Amino acid sequence: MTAPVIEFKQVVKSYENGPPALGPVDLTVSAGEAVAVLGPSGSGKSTLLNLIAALDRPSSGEITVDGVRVERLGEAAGAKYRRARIGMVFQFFNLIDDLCVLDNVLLPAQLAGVGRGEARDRALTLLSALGVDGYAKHYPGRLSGGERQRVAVARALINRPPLLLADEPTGALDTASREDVKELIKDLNEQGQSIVLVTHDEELAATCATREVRLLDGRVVSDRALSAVSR
Amino acid sequence: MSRRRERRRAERHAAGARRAGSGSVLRKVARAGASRRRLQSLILILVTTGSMAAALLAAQLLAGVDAPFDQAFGRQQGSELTLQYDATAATTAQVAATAHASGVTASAGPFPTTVLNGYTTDLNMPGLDLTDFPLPQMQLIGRAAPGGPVDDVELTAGHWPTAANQIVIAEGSSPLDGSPMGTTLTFPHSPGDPTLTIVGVANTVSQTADAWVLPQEVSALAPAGTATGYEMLYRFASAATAAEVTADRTAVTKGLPTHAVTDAESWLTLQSAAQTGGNAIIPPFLGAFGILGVILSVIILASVINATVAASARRIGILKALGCTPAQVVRMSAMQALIPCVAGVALGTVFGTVGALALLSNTGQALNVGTPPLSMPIEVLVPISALALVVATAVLAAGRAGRMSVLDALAAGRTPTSGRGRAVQRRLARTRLPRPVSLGLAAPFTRPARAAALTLAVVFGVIAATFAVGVASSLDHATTDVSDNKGGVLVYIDANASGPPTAKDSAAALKAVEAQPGTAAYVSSISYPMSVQGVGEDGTVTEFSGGGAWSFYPIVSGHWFTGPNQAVVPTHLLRATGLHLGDTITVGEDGRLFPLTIVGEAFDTHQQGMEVLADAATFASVQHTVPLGSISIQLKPGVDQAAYLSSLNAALSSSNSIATVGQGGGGKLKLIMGALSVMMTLMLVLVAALGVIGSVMLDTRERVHDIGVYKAIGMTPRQTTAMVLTSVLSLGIVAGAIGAPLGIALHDYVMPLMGNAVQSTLPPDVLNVYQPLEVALLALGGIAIALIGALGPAGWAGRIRTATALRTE
Ligand SMILES: Nc1ncnc2c1ncn2[C@@H]1O[C@H](COP(=O)(O)OP(=O)(O)OP(=O)(O)O)[C@@H](O)[C@H]1O
Ligand SMILES: [Mg+2]
Repeated sequence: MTAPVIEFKQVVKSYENGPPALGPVDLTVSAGEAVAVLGPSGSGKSTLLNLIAALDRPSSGEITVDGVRVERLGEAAGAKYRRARIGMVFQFFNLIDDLCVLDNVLLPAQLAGVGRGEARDRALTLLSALGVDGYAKHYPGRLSGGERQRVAVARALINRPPLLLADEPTGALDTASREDVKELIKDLNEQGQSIVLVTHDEELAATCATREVRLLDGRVVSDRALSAVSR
Repeated sequence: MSRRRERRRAERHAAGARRAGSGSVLRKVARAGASRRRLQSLILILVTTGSMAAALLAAQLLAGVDAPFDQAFGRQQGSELTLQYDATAATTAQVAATAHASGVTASAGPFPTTVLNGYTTDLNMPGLDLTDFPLPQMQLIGRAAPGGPVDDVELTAGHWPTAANQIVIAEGSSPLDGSPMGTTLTFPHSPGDPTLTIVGVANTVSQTADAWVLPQEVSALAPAGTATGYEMLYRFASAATAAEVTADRTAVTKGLPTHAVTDAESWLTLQSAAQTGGNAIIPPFLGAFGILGVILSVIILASVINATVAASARRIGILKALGCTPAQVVRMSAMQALIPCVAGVALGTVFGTVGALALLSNTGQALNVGTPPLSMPIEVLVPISALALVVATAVLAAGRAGRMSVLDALAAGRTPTSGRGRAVQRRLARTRLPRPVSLGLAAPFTRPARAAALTLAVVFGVIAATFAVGVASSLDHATTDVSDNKGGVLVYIDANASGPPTAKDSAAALKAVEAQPGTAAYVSSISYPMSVQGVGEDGTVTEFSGGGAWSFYPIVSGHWFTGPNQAVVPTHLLRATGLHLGDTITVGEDGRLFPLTIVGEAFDTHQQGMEVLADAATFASVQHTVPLGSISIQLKPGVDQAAYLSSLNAALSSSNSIATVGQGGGGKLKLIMGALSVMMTLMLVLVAALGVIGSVMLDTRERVHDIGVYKAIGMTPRQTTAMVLTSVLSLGIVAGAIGAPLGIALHDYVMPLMGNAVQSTLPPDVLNVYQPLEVALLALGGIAIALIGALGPAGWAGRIRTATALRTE
C-alpha cells in the first residue's frame, strides 16, 4: 500500500455542548483511493469533509493530510493548505456568477500566485479534458447543472491537489448530468487522483469508489473495500 | 376611510379563505426575517441616527445664524434707544416720567449707573496674568433682575446677583469675559475697597452694561466724589430709521434740562456693527456647512435604505413563490426597513438637538448674541421630512423588488451583473494585479448605482474637510490686528490707578520696549476719533509707530505706507467714499488738516472698516489725549521669551503696562470658528464614513456566500480583507479627485461672501490658501474616509469562518 493521504486519529467534533456530530473516528485513506462516505442525513458526512479541508477544527484528535497536521492550522495557513492540497467540489457548484468560466477556473491558481500563462494553459487543458472548453467565455448562469459541475471540478483541480473532496457532487443534477459526473470522477481516480466523496447515492458510490465508509450518528459503522467486480 | 378599511378587510378575508392561515405564516416569516436581519436593522438605525442628527444640527445652525442680531434683538426686546442721564441734572422722577413720552411703547429703568476705573482682579490664566493689573473702565448698572419689558438680559452662566458682593459680567466685555465664576474684582477707589465676586455672565445685544449689581449697590460702589447717573431703555412705535430714532429721542427728552442726557445709543448703530463687524463672517461659513450636512444626510439615508430593501429581494422572491401578493410583500419589506429607520429618526432627533444646543450656544457666544434658541418649526419639520424620505425610499425600493418576477427575485444576489460590470471584471482579471485586488477593484462596477451614491457621500466628506481647512487658513491670513503676534511679546497699556491710561504711560512703555535688550522690532498702534473726509465726525484714525513695513493688515491692493502722509484704508471706506488708490483723503479738523495719499487698500474690519491707517509721524504735531493701546514686539533670535518678559515687566511697572506672551490674532472669533469648523467637518466625515460602513457591510453580507467560496478555494483572511478594502479604494480615489476641487470651489465661493459681509474685498493671500501638497493630502482624504468606513466590514469578511460563510444562504 502507498503512503496515507489522510489519517484521522481519535477525531471528535461536537458543536456547542451538543453530542458529538462526528467521532471518535479513526480513518486512514491511502493515495489513489476513492473513498465514498455514505450515511443518512445528519450522520456527520459534511462535518468529516470540512475537517479534512480545514474549514472546521476538530474538538479533539489528530488529522494529518498529505503530511500536514490540519487541526493545527490557522485560518490563513488553512487557506494556503487548501490552495495547495485540496480541491473542493460542492453540491451547488458555488461558481462565482460575476466571473466567466475561465476566470472561475483560474481563481485558485491566481490566489496561489501561479504565473498567468501557466495557469491559463492548465485551465484550458482541464476544461478541454472535461469537455467544457467551449464555454470558457460563458458565464455560469447560462450553463446546465452538469456543465457547471464540470467547471467546478476543473476549478478544484487547477492547482493539482493531491486530494479531491466532493460533497454531494451529483445532488443537484438530473439523471443525465449525474451519469456525466459519475464518469468524470471514475476517470479522475483511474488517473491516480485521491478522492473523498460524500454522497447519498449508493449507485454513485458503487460505480466510482474503491472503498466505502458508512457513518451513523457520527461513527464509522462499516468500512470496506469495493471489489473490482462491483465497480 | 371606513369604506377603504372595509375593502381591505374583505380582501384579507378572501385571501385568508383561499390560503388558510397565510396571514399568520406571513407574520411569522416577517418576524423571523427581522431577527435574521438584526445586523441590517442595526446598520439602518446607525445610519439613520447619524444622518438625521447631522441634518437636524445643520438645519438648526442654518436657522440660528440667519440674521442673528435681529433674532436676539427681537428675543430680548432690545432697547431701541438707551439714554444715560446725569443724576445731578435730572431727578429720578423726571427720568422715570420719560417713559410716558409719546411714541414709547415700552421702557425699562431708570437704573442707577456709575463708571468704574482701575479695579483689579485675581484672574491669573496661563499667558495672561491680570493679577493686580488695573483694568479699563466699566459701566456698572444696578438692576434687580435680568428680565423686563426692554432688554430682557439672557443669563448664559451662573445667576443674577442676590447679595451685595456679587457681580454679573456682560458677555463680550473684555477682558473679563471668559473669566471663571468666582473670580473676584477689587475696587480700590470705592469706599471701603469692596471686593465683588463674579456670579454670572449675561448677554445683552443692546449692550446696556458692562456689568450688573443689585440697584442699591451702585451708590456704594461709586468712587468718592463721582456722581452716579441713570440709564433708561426705550422701545418705540417706530424706530426703523435714524430719523425716527432721533425724533423719538427728542420726544423722550422734551422738557428735561439740556445737559441731562450724557450719552445716547441707537439700536441702529449696534445693528450695523453686528452686520458688518468681524463676526459677520460666521453666518456664510456655517451656512455652507449646514447645506453640506443636509445634502449629505439625504444621500446617505436614501442609498442605505435602498440597499437594505434591495438586499431582501431574494426573500421577497421566496415569499411570492409561497403565494404572497406583491402588495403584501411590498408592505412587509417596507415595514422591515421602516421600523429601524423610525427608531433612528427618533434617536437622531435627540442627538441632533443636543448637538445643536451646544453648537448654537457656541455660535451665539462667538456672535455675541446670547444663545439662539432651537427653532421649533425646524425641530418638527426636519424629523418629519426625514420620515417622509425614509418612507418614500423604502416604499419605492420595496415596490421595485415587489414588481420583480419571482424567478429574478429568487436569483437576486446571485444574478449576474450588467454587461459593463462583467467587461470590467474580465479586463481586470487579465491584469497583473494580485487577484484579490483586481476582484475588489471590479466590485463597484457590479453595483454602479450603489457605488455612485457611496462615492457621492465620500465626495461630501472631502468637500467639507477641504472647505474647513481652507477657511481656517484664510482666517489665519485675515487677521487684522497688531495683537496678532504669535510667538512674540505683547504689551498692553491700560488704565492706571487714577483713571484711564495717559499719553505719558504709553510714552514710557514705548521707551521701555525700545530700551529692552532683545527687542528686534516693535509696532504700536493707537486709534482715536478724527474727522475723515467722506465719513465725517465718526471717523477713526489708527496710527502706527515703530514698525515700518511690519504690517499685520493683509493688503488687498497697493501697498502698506512707507512714510508719513500716506494712508492705507479698508475696502469699505473706499466703497463708501468713492475714492481710489492714488487719491487724496483728508483727515483732521479745523486748522489741522492732513491730506493723505491713499497708497493701499487693506482688509480691515475694525470700526466697520471705516478707519484710516497711517504712519504716526504724520500726526507728530497732534497732542494725543488717547493713549497707546498695545505694542507688538518681535524678539531677536535666540532671546529667551520668559526672561525677556520678566525683565520687561519690571521695566514697565511704572507705566501701568503689562507684557504677555503674544497670541495668534483674531482671538475668540478665530478660536470659535476653528472649533466650529473642526466640529462640523468631523461630523460630516463621520456621517460619510457611516454611510460607507453601512453600504459596505450590506454589500459584504450579500456576498458572504461568495466570500465562503473564495475562502474554500484558498483565499486567506488577509487576501479577503484586502479584497473588501480595495472594493472601496477606487471609489475613494474618485471621490477625493472630485471632492478636493469642489471643496476649493466652495471655499472660493464662500470666502468672498464672508468678505462682503464685512464690507471688504479679500486680499489674494486670504483667498489663495491651498498649497499643492495640502490639496493632494485632502484628495487622499477621500481614500481615508472610504477605507476607514470599510475597515469594519473588511475585517469581518476576513474573520468569518469559511464553513459559516458557505452555509449562509
Ligand atoms: N455549525 C453547526 N452547528 C451546530 N450543529 C451543526 C453544525 N453543522 C452541523 N451540525 C450538526 O452536526 C450533525 C452532522 O451534520 P452534517 O452536516 O455533517 O451531516 P451530513 O451527514 O452532511 O447530513 P446531510 O446528508 O443532510 O448533508 C447534524 O446533526 C447537524 O445538525
Ligand atoms: Mg452534508
